[in-house]
Amino acid sequence: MKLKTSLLLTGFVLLLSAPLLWGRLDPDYSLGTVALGLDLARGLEFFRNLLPAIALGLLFAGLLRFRHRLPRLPRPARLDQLKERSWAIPALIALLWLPGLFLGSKGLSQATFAAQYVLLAVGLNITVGMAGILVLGYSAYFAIGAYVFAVLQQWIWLPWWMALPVGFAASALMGWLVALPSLRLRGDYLAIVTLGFAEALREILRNGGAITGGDKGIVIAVPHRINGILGLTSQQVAWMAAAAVAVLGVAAIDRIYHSRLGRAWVAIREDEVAAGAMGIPTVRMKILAFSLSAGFAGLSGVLYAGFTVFVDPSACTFEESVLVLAMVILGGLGSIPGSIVGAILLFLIPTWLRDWFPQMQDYRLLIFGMILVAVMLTRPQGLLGSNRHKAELEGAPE
Amino acid sequence: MTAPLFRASGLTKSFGGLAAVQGVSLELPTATIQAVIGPNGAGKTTFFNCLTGIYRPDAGQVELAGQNLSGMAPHQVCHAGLARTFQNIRLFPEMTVLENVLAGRFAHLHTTLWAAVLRTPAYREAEAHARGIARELLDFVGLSRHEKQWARNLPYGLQRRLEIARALATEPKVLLLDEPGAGMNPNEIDTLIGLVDQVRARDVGVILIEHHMKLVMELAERILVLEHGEPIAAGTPAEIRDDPRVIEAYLGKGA
Repeated sequence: MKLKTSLLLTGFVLLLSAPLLWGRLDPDYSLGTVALGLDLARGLEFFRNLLPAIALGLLFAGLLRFRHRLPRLPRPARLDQLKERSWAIPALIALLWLPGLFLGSKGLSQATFAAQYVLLAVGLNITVGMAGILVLGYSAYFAIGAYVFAVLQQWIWLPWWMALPVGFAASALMGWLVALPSLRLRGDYLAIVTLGFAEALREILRNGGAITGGDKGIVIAVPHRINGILGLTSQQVAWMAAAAVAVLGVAAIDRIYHSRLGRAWVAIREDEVAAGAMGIPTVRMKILAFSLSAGFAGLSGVLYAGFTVFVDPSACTFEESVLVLAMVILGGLGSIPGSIVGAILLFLIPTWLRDWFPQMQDYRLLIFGMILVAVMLTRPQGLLGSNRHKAELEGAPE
Repeated sequence: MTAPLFRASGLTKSFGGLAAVQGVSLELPTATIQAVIGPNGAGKTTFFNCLTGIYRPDAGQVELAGQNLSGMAPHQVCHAGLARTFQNIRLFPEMTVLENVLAGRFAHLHTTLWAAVLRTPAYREAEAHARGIARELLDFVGLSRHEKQWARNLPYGLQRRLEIARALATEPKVLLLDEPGAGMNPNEIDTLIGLVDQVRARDVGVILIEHHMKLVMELAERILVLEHGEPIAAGTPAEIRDDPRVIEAYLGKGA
């Protein structure tokens, strides 16, 4: 039923966009007019190019529809028990490191960025998914992490690994300050305040003169950036660092989620008045949630700056904020595995579209949007956004 | 003379020109059961909201075991030992039954962020202890079999009981029940009467708002009657039953 609706809607979107696609815009600057002509060949070419994406979407929708008949993954309960083992985290990190030795430089850099997005999405999930407070300017805290590292390393000896806690602390502090006035109020004030803060921060970074390097940004000094050691290339080290920080960050968030703090956040999301009446200091808990979210964005920012060896104000854009938010929503609000899957998919899909179907370069965002719409229609709760509690408690430690 | 367990004196709350609660006083000398009754719109729930810090009363004092609760935020009122349930059930729907009760343990679980991240032995012990208490409370209200279900999937009557378990998890000295019997059938009412009686047996004072007269008459030692936000009568069930003003408020003049 939902599949049919989503196909119908996809068709509707195509119908709406068809005139635009078929049309050829001929701006005539001398006359100041725009002529719209029909270009049949180009329109047909577009739809031909679209076929692989449609096939991909159908495959995806089919997988979702018939997921009950697919071979089952390890049951979440078993995974939960596995998670409790002391060797689970080092083992997972080692498992992620191994393929890094064989991947090419392109694969490595994609994996590194994906790990940074995982950290961002799981971090944002604390505020948006668990505590249920919308945030629209999350990229600001990513930028703060990156810039604090970039600025400080100009003056003092600060290699990237030392900058990690500094970036975390700086972003968390800034998040705390921004949340302090806005979270005393109920409702979506934080969304607007963070949005405004992110926009203002970008202008500050652009106009920061010698300190922020203006539009040109700052280059990270050679000894401070992520370099190769012990025969490993810098890209391998960057992947290993990003994977390790992401695993440790996600594990920390998962543990907090299962503690009284996580329960308090979910309680606030479910019913703020009742949460307060049950002894949960709602304001303090909401500020803590956002401060933590900001801190994890800061970590991601330091990793980013250390790897790309360069930061500029484009680290702090609304598009980035929305992309990370889309990752959290697509994966399923409140679900940590969901955020991980959402981050990896939403980062890799546009990259793959670019690499595999270069002829569709111009329509990348359109296809991307269609995939998002299709997923949200077939699974409004997100890819992994259901039954979290059941799965969680069946394997809960006693 | 020792301070009473609970005392509210002269509580007043107005919204614009409307006095929703005016000069209402109530005292629980020890862990007993009192009822607040009155027609719809008499200000009973507003009175509860003033007691629990959800509204800030314009005048009046609230004291619990000698501690002044006036001006406290809801969570501080709860920490002081005053817990409540809600007229229109306010559980955490997408949490399990057990998690709902655990959420009520927040203030008694002193685990820090770091302890949670590092999973220290003290953290594990505190968590296990909290789960033990939560399970004991679920057993107490008869919900043990349902602990893994989502709160939203519980039948109505059980949701009411879960709200009581969640409130008890905060270890209150006094429990406020806002229409616990609303929408229940006679069988469920009988079970509820037994449950509230057992709550008092745990040395918890109970103040309940209720329309269901059987429940009120069987449980309450004293009854306070509100009409248009003002107290019109107070006394034992027998006194209230025969009070002409109460009869008038409920049935109208000439009844």
